[in-house]
Amino acid sequence: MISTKLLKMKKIFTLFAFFGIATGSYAQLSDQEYSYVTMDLQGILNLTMTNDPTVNFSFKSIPDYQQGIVKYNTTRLDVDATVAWDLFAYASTDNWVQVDAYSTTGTPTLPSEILEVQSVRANASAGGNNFNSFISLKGLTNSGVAAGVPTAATQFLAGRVGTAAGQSYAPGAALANPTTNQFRIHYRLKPGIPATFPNSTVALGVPGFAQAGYYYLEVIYALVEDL
Amino acid sequence: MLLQLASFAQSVSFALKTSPNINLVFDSIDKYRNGIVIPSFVTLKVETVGTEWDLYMGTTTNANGFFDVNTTYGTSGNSSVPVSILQARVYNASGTSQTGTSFFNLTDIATPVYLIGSTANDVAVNCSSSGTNVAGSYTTQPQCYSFKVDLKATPGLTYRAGSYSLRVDFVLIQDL
Repeated sequence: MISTKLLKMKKIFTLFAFFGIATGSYAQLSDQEYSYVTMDLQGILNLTMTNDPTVNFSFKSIPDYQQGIVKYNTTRLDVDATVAWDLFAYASTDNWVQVDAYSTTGTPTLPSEILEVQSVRANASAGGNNFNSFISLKGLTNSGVAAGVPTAATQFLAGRVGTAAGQSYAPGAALANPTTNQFRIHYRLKPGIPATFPNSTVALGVPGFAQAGYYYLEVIYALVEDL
Repeated sequence: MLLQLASFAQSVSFALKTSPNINLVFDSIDKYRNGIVIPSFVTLKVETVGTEWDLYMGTTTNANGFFDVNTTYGTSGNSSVPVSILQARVYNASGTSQTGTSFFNLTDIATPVYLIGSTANDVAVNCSSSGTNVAGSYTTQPQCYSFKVDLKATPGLTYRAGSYSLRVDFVLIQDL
C-alpha cells in the first residue's frame, strides 16, 4: 500500500519537474535598442538696439534752451535671455567730450549728469536707482561701475544689485514678453538760460554755465547675468 | 520531443542596430523657443519569428522622469528638467505605429509609450493595419516592420543653463 503511494507521488513529482522545465523554455523574448541624448543648454544674453544709436540735440533757439529738448522713444532695446538678468546704464565718461568750441566764455566741462533719461518700462525691482522718471544719467565714476560690474550706486532699467528674489528679471524672449523684455528710452536736455542745466544732479564748474560748442557723450547699456 | 521544440522556434530582435548618440546644442534664442528636431535619428528594423510582439519606448535616468545633470553653467533657473521636453515621432510607410504621425512627449521607461501593442496580450494584427504585431521581417515588409524615429527637444527658457543627458530605450518584446 505504502509503496503504491510513494510510486504515485514520484510520478507527481516527476510531472511537476517536467512542467518546471517546460515553463522555463517559454521565457519572454525581448531585444533592446537605445540612444544616448545629451542636451547642452547654453546661457544666452542678447541685447539688441533696434534703432539708430546716434541721438542729436541741436539748440538753435531761445525756446530750445528754455524749454529743453525731449527725444521720445529714441532708443529701443530688446532683451533675449535664458538666464536671470539685470540691465543697467551709465555714461562711459564723467563729462561730455567737447569736439568744438563756439565761444570763449563758459565752462567746457559738462558733467554726464546733464543728460536726463527715462525708461518707459518702470523697473519692477523695488529699491535701488532706476530710470522710472526723467533722472540724470550718472557718469562713470558716480555710477560706481568698475570693469563692467555694477554696484548699489548704479542705475538699473531692470533688476538691481543682488541675487535675492525680486532683484532680477526672469529668462524670456523680447517678442514673447514685450512688457518686461522690451524697453523704450526717452532723453531730455534742458540747458536753461544761461546754460546751467538746472536739472543736473552735478553742478557745472565756474563760471556756472556751459560754453557754446559741440559735445558728445557715450551712453552704455549693459545686460548682465544676475550672479 | 526535441525536434518538435525546434519546429516552434521563436525570436524577436532588432536588426542593424546603430545606437546613435545625439547632442542637442541650444545656442540661440530661436532654438530655445522653436526647439531642435533631429529627423530620423534612429531606424528600428524589426525581425520576429513565430510570435506576436510589442514595441515600446521610454527614457532611463537616475531620477525617473528627469534628465541627469552633467554640469550646470549658472545658478538661475530650474535644473530639474523633465524628460517630457523631449518628443518623438515614430512612423513607417504603412503608419502601423499606434502613436500616429504626431510628436508625443517621452516618459520614463517605467511608464513607457507603446508604439505597438500594450501591456496585455493583444489580438493579432496583420500588416499593414495600425498596431501590426504578427511575426514578420523588415526585409520582406519594411512598410510594417521598419520604423523611423524623429526626435524633438523644446526646453523653453525656464531651465538652468547646463549639460544634461538621458538614454532613450526602445524595447521589442514578445507579446504574452
